[in-house]
Amino acid sequence: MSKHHTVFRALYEAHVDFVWRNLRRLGIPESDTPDKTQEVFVVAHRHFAQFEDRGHGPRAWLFQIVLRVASEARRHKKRHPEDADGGVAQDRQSISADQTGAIARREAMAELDRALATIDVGRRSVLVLHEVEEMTAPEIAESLSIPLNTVYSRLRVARLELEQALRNSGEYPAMRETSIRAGGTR
Amino acid sequence: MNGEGLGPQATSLLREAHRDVPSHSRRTEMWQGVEAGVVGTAAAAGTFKALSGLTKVLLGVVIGGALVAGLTATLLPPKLNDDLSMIDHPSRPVMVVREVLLAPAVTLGTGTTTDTDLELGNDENVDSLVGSAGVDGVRTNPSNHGSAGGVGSGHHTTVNANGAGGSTNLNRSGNPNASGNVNAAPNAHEDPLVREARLVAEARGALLRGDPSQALNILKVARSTPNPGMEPEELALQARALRELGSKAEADAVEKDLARRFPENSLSR
Repeated sequence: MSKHHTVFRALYEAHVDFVWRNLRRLGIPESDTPDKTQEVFVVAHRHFAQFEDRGHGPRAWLFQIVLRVASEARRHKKRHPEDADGGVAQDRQSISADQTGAIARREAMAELDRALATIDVGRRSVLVLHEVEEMTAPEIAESLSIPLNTVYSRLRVARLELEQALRNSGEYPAMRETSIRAGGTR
Repeated sequence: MNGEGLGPQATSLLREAHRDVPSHSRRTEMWQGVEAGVVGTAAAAGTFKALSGLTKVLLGVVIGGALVAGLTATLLPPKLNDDLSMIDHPSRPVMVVREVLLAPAVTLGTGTTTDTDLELGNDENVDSLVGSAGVDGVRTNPSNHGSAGGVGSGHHTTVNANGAGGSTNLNRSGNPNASGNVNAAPNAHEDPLVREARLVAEARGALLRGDPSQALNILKVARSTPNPGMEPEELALQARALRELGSKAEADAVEKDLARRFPENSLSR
């Protein structure tokens, strides 16, 4: 196994969660996320030799690929709407009856994603990178190639929009707090 | 995650989103998929890199040629074939046209005479082409008329078809052009009916290309064939070409002639 391969495997292990989460928050249905995650890393592998770490690690670079893959997937979905609900029903079918904790968690995520979907992708990216990925504003500015002040303004607006969208959803899930705390992975 | 400016529940959802990660088995599966994708890409790239420059050029030529041939076959003959297939009971000439359309193209104007090429300058051949059709004044000109006859035209044969009511040039350039030249490309062994069918197909092709004048020129030559077997098709195309040229009265007259002479033919209906 080549050194290049080993290094890339380490990159994959370190950042696959990051890629997965951001694809999900950028509107990729769970059923498609494994394929899209693979696609991101295949593209990353192709350009790995050109990757330059500018001090923020590979996350900024990977996020650029994630944005493109998610954008293409959304466009494809618009042109070829296979599932009217965006794959939600398909996702649900894969849940066994006794996984109530997992169901509650998924519903919470579905609600978050519905709320996020109402926010423009540019602002949504800033919000997710800051609030979920805990990236700093300079890191986000680097990742999205935008000025620092734009990061702050987008973040402020996106927070308001998220609050508003969750409020409008009608069933703001106070009751899900408990089930969410159960935590776990998929 | 600082949650500044966010309510506690939004903060909670975003915190939960941070824990939204793939399971271990899914991570492994995805890595296998990535490896497969990477290996497939690398193998394809490696194969391409291994090819020499000349091979790449040849590969490009082959792929390009196939693409052009495919596009041509897709765009032109099927349309023509579709037109022909609308005829309820195709006559033998129609079948011949179909055969001609499906036949491989013969390269013309290469300067090398092959068995399939026309022996230009051979008066016997030209005579056999027009001799008994009331066309006189056959003149064979072996000089190069590339500029008038199209690219690669090594020879040029002019047939003055006065008997057909006008002057029609026959050349072997492979491309009927706007000056009224018609690609007769007669073969010494070519069946007159096959040649007539080919000319009808060319006329139809000219119509499809939006060149009714050229279609009329080709049709005049086609109708000079001894014992013409495709007169209904020729008359129908002539009417169509005239109509496209704006000669409605003439087109109507030709259609009436078609209906009168071939009342049973599907083209007369």
